[in-house]
Amino acid sequence: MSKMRKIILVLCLLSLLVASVVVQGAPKMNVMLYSSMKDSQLSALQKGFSKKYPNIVFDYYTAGTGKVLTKLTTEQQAGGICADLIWVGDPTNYIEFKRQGLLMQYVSPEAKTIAPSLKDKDNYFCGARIVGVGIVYNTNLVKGNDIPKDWDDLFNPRFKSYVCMTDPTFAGTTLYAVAALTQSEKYGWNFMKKLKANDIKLVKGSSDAVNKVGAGEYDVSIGVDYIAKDKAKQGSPLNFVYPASGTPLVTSPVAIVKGTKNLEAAKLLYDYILSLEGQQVLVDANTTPVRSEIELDIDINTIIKNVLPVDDERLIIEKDEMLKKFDELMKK
Amino acid sequence: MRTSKLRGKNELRKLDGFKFDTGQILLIISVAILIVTVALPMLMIIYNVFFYKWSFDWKLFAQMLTDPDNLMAMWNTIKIAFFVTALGTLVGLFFAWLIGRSDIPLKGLMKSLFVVPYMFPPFIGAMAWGLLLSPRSGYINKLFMSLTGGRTPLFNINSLAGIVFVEICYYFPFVFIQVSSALERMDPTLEESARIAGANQMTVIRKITMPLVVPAIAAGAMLILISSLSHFGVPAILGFSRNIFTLPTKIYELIYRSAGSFEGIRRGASLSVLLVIVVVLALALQRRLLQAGHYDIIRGKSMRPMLIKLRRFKIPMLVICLLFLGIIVVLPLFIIFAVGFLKAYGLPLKLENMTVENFKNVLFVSKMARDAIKNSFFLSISAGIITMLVGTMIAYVIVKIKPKGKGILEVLGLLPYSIPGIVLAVGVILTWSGALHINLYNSIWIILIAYIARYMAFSLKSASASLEQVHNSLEEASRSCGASHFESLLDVTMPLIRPGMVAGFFLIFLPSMRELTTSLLLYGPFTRTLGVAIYSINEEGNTVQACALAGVTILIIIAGEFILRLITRERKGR
Repeated sequence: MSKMRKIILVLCLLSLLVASVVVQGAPKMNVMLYSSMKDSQLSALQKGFSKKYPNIVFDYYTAGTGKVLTKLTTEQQAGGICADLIWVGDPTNYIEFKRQGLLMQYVSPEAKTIAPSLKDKDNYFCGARIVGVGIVYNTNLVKGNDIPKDWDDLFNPRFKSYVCMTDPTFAGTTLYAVAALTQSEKYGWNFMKKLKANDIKLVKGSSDAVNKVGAGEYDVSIGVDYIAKDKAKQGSPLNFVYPASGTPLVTSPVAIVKGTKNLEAAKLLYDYILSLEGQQVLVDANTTPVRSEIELDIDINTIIKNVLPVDDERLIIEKDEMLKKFDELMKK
Repeated sequence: MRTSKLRGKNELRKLDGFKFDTGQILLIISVAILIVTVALPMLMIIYNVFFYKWSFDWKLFAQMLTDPDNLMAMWNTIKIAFFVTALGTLVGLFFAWLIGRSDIPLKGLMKSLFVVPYMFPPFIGAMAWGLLLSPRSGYINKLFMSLTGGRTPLFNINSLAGIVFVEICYYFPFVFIQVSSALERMDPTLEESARIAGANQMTVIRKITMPLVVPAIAAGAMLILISSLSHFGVPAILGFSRNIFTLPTKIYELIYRSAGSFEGIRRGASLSVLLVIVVVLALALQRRLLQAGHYDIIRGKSMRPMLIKLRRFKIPMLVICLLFLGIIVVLPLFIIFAVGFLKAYGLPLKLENMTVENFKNVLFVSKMARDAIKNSFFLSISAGIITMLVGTMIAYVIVKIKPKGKGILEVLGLLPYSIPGIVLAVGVILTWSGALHINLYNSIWIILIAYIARYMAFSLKSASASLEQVHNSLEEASRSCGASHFESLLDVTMPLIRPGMVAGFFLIFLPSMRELTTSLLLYGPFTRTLGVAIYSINEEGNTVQACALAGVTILIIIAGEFILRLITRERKGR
């Protein structure tokens, strides 16, 4: 090998190394968000936020709620949470955070018009998006009378072993939905038993449940609205149904971590997420916003009225027991 | 000879007036590096499993060992490894013999194609086969079901058999490579004399060829066995959804589900000990089985061996070879890129459903993907450079200085080679997340340390090989002309082994680029590697983007492999 080529090779490697290390221009402010939102949604938010506040570097870590909680616990034990804001799962997580003294009170000017039922009464956190859990089906495989309209339609023998749901251990939204269903008088644990009798399969993530229906691995699944709508928009043969007898609605709250070093930037991001501008980014990603000022193509008020409610306090107490019961029932 | 050399060394030392000479300094540094990177994590595992707050405690280990779930995982691991090793060896042997000893056409091309699966990251292969053969959504199964009109799939890849199949695809080259080179080096006159003595084709293969390549088979099969026992990616991707666990995936699951708590890590560490015991026992057993009848005559000059004429089997055999390559190389590659271009997973593979959006997204939009590309380059290049330099230094100490206790160096350096990546990761977590008052958890440095330990053996082996080719007399000549030990090392030995060092760099760079197992346990918010990003995006259900990123990774690996070929070819050309 000629000397020249060798030198070029070495230079290439070195420049790659340098390029991979160099951090672009030192920013004035940083803010870090841990979230269970999808990467695409967060990067859209990031884009909008950076445009509005070019001097703040907004970084995020995204993973399923379970993983984010794992991370928080680990960091707490190691002596410091790296996040400035947390935006995951459901209110029960936040009630616990609040009790552990992890959160900081903050009254955002943007939260004024948000319904009180979505906010913490002590202003420790505020709902920032609404996620509906309903039924997803493959439009190529399920037609006519087989199209599910309510929860009971999942027991349709045609779907036997062609129905799936997310393992609630891994996804906060599904955990909340399981709580809503098992706490309700109408369904209770009997509902889960009947699902098991129809040989329901468990998958490991809420996107995966929808994805597998889209791919035809399953005919129907219990699924999350925005994921299904998003994939349907991309062209997957999917449709989402809000069950007639009630939809579990999860409001994922956002909160500021107590003792953050980047308080000013954290507040600005908190405001931005709740602002009409920030909420519109969510709407573009097919997520239901918390600001009622935004017009939607679904009648969200009727859906909210027809919610399958969850007793948050009861869920906090029963969470471990519920998961254990679920495992015993469904994983055998 | 030896004593005179030693005396010479002592006299030189006296002349220099130094307490330590270069050799001793190098020895001390080498031992220190290996203890910190390799020995410490292993000791930490053993300590944490069997001691609790400084007192001996075997309860946890016993409890883990009697848990039926764990025993099931162990049994699965053994079953998978057994079938992968047995069948993979047969496949590798068959094709090595076909290409090395028969008159099958297109030999050169096939020889390089058969090595391709070796560089294909197995977990990406598992993803590809999942796309093809998932029970109901796999493209092949869909085709099959639409042809038969039923709802029974052709093959369910999410099963033990599926895992075995995919692992064989990517591990048989170990035997193929070993046996091919053994066949090349074998003295063909042995076979010829048997033929002259009246033996027929089958007898020659059975009585002469086979025994001669047994050591090569044993070496290749051992590599398959170790790799399969410690393999994580394939059973993780194909087995999780059906609750099929192996020991490595169970360790990951335990640590992951217990929310990263210390108790969870301790449990993971206990299973790690179990896994290492399984590996050691399997290796011992295999050694016993295969070493009966060790013939050591494989050092003939490379004469042209007589090729067996396949006659009317020539075309069928060629078809088999090409078909096999098509299935294990072309098909998975095709499906990864095809799905990477798809608008949404589940759409038929038609041109109107294609878009470049996914590739654009992973390269320019998704922060996770861009971070991953950046991190993997940083880690692979730094691990490559550091490990290559340290490995060369240790190899120099072992091969040239030959100190007392070089055995320890060799054992320590080669140890990670047979220690599963997931076990190493557990050890690294236990060592570097604050136990010794240094907390690197969540930072990129913890991954770098793990990579260095993991790939030290590669570097050590390749550096030893090139150092052994540099005769001692060269350095001695330089020493006798008055150069110091260090000077002669720098001016004589180094330039001679430089090409070997560059090749050694790529031997570490390439596997680091596609590393999954250790990074998956060690990554933090900003330190996802390519493997971790592909795995998480895929697990999250964003199949099309996972495929796009996998496609990008494959292109990077192909480019790296191409450069490596260029370098090694030029070296041979000299």
